Amino acid sequence: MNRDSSLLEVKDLAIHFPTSRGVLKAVDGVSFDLKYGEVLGLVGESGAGKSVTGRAIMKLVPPPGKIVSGRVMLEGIDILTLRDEDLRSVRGKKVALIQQDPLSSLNPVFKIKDQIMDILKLNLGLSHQEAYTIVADLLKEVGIPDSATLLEKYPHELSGGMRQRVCIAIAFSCTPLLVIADEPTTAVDVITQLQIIQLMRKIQREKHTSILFITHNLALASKICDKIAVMYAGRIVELSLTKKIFESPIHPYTRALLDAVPRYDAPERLQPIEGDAPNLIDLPTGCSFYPRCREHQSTCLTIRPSLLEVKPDHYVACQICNIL
Amino acid sequence: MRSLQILGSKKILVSFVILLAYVLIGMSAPYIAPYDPNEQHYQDAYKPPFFTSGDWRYLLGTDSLGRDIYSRVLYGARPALFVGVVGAFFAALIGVSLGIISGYYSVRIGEVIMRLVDIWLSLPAVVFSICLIAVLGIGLGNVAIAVIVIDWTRFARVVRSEVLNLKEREFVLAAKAIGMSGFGIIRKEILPNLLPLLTVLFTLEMSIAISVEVLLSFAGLGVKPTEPSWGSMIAEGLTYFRTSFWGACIPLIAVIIIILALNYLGDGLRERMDPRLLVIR
Repeated sequence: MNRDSSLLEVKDLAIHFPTSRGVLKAVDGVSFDLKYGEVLGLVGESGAGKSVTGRAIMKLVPPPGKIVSGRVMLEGIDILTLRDEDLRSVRGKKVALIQQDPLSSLNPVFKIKDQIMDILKLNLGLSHQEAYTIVADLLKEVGIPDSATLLEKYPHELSGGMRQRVCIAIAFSCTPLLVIADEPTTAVDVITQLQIIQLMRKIQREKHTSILFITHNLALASKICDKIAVMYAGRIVELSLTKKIFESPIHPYTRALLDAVPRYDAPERLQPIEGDAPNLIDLPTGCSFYPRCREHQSTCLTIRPSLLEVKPDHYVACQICNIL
Repeated sequence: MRSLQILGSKKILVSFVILLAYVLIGMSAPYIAPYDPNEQHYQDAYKPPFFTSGDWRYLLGTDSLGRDIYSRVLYGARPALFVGVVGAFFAALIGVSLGIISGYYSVRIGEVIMRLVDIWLSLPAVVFSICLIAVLGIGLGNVAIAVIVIDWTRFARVVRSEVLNLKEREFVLAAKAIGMSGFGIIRKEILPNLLPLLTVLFTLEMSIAISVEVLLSFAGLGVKPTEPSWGSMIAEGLTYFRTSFWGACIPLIAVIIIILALNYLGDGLRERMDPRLLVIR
């Protein structure tokens, strides 16, 4: 297996939601690559299409959403064309999901023990005893030393941080190639957030797993991601290495986002982004960010910018920046 | 809140004990009944029960043909419980299956099933059951069939709405994301979460099924006339109610107690299991 080759290749992905007021374009032509063992952050505000993109990779787009075009190639196989039976062998084993709220993603009526062991039995065909040993090791890895007591508990008996650790253990249990982490730290407090992130980073390095890290929190993304893709209104507007995004952001939206992050050392720099996110049913022609952009020009109104490599390994979708 | 819980559990305990007593009586009726329920003692007709002016020979008095009411009431538990258990069980089986299919799978099939349920609900249950018996003929099995045919909708409707809610929950998505099949999700994720609801529904359905058996027997459409049943006893007792009230009142009390016990059990279970269920009924 070539470590540098692409594990996941998303190409021109478009996902539409038919609504009574028209077609909502949640994802509108998204393309990105993910290498083996790489962590890509998908950053953007609510409704930018981050989560739907993540779900599409497992072909689990919530109805009535439809994947209208595009390809999701995982190790050269297009996930979107697979039949249900073949999909089931991809889900869990090759791609795993960590969700926002660990309480609701655990079944309330079963003990933790049954929930984790079921997955191992289902996907790896292990016996009860084998599964138990693996689960104990897994829980030790996610920082739960006393696994015997925890396994006998129900989800509601655990703290938020513990639950998310259990979900992480579940996600990594079948050693997947890719983990989709959909805002995994939203439901926990700031200190636990950092622990969870460090934990994911640690396991990711050990197992050489790729992670698609979906978040609205740029600071958090900087702690775990190798690369960051900034999404706006269903499109990627800037994609580059984390360092470059933070040190030399190019797209006006990325710059505005970074200016809007509170910083303790320079409180006066905090600047909100004016206006609202655009209506995804009735997108402006040309650049979607045009109405809120501080630097817009007349060409922005008519020409829709595409994602281009402006500097080495630095992709930006902006009419003005591309000319610069 | 705590006192409510204790009250709830006391409710459950008491009604459960009463129910258990009924089941035991129904099963052991041939052994504990002092007389054959159809044995006629003409010279002892219209004997009053022991607590009025009667003697201990006929504990709860006799009817117009001199049959022992105590023995007949004990035997009367059998058709009632049979219809209650068998009717409710198969109504649940059919209703839950259709409810899950219509809630979990395709929207179109779901809509078809729900429109069918709407048609069912628009038919008055009493008239419907009488029509069914008119077609099927009288007899214990047919009463149970009538209950099943009429009451599966109760389960289908509630189960569907609960499944629609459950399948959007994140643990179902999580199950899909680990590669579980549709059937696996229903079995391992949805059904266990339906169980509290089903326990409550089943208890309430049993009380409805028992009252249907009593009602049909009362109208002479239930069990065969040779078999003692609470409904037919009440109907017969009413004809000589002015002279000897016990003929109708004693089986009526037997019916009231078991229906109350089942309703309290259902209520108690509902209070204990899930406050959200209060909305459903």
